[in-house]
Amino acid sequence: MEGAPRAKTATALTKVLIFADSTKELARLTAIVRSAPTLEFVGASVDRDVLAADLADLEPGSPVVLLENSSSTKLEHDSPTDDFATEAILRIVLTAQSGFADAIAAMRDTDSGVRAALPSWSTDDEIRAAIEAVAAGLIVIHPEALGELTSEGIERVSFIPEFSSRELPDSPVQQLSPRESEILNLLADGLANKEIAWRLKISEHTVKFHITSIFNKLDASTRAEAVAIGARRGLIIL
Amino acid sequence: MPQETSVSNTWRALSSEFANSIDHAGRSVVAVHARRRIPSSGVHWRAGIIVTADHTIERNEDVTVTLPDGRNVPSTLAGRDPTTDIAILKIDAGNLAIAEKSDAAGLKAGNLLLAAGRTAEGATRASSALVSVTGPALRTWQGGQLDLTVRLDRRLHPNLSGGPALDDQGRAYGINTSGLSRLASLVIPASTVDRVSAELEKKGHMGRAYLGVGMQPVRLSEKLREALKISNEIGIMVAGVEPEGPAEKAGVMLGDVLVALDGKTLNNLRSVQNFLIGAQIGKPVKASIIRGGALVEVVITVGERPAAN
Repeated sequence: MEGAPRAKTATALTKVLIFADSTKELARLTAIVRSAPTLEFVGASVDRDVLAADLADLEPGSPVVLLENSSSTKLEHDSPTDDFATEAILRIVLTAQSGFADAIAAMRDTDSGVRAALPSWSTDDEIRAAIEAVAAGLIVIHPEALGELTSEGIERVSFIPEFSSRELPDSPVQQLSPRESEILNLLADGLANKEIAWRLKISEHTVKFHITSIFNKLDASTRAEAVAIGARRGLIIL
Repeated sequence: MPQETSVSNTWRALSSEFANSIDHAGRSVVAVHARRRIPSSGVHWRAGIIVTADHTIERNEDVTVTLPDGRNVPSTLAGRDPTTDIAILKIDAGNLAIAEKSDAAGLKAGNLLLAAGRTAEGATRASSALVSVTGPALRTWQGGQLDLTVRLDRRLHPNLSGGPALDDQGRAYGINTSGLSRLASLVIPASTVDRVSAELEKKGHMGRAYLGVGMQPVRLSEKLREALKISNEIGIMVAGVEPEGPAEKAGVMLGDVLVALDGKTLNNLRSVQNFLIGAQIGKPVKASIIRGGALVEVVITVGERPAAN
């Protein structure tokens, strides 16, 4: 509502632009932004061209958060920001469940500008929190979108992790097959499922199958755990 | 009508030079379609080989390339090195021009570069940037090595990743990429592209330094540490020696406990990984080993990780 006290220094306010493909969603998101004292509402539209014009009018240099709600699962042609340098535009994408995979994939690509992936049914508080976090330079993933992280194999080990012996299960370990051993070592190298599939000239489906078997045999539930347990058993060959 | 002054002559000459450089380079620049968003660009580096930025390749199949004449043709992903952000594609190049190269070693902060790219529709895209920071070899966060550091003054348009960084004659100093730093684009120097793409063409990926040992961390007793005068609380015990591997050839045995490589203390497997990232294939390293309660030194010639079968 208007009249909410604004922060003394106007430069501290985070500028927010809103895109939604329904007027009802547009109204909801606009209300959220207008009622937050630390946010500055810049514009809202169901029309991408109107938003692009709003964006072009903004003074360059100050970061802008673009709150996008789209019922479409394809992100690439929906952003009005494609023609602009993306560094100053921080995108928060609200999607249906079917859009999580796309949104998470876009977050891996720094050029996309996507910094937060939220379900379209997120609460007002969650959306406000996400805007503040993104403006502060963080990346936000809603727990319900997390399933897409591990199932897409996007989780990667960067270096062999260190776990204290108390943290890891100590159950007896079954022997890995040569192929499983090979894949465990590729996991330790930080390769994603797609890259392993390409390297070994097998399908991604087969890679996932082997990884499931590796997890079972090592009693691990994440790649980092599998690599750490494998390392403690001397299975990582360097 | 404003009079033609020497300033407007200079302007016209500069503008014309820029356009000529882009036009010349553009004959060897393609668009690369390997991700759902804006395509990246690629450079016809040598006959039939397109070099592009690895981070822009998001799928292995159905990677197509748009040529300068607008035709979209199929391509095969032939090699990837995320550590230097270089990937290569094989295409049936036909008459496509091969890029001319320029030496990036002479670049200094303040030099002006042009960037060329190709859009999804086949049009040429141009941009300019200043060389912002130069420096010697750069180790990327994933452990790869660029022969030189050439940072630009901003992030280029995503379509330009994989496209060439140009001199005034339209020759490529290297490949532009936004994938190695969040802050500003970098130029991967032509010499690095030559080196990496040659190895990628042969093997599909870059060789990794390899010792051929399976290891596990073990705690060293206080008594042992005092006796041997070593500070490590943890040693890396050899739990497996790969047949015909570099460690076996050097005489490393099961039960050996590694405590240092080339004088660098090893505390965990991560430190071994770190060491190997910086190690050169073919070079000897001194391994400090506890064997039978005594410290011995074994020289291992670093090998290359064998290809997956």
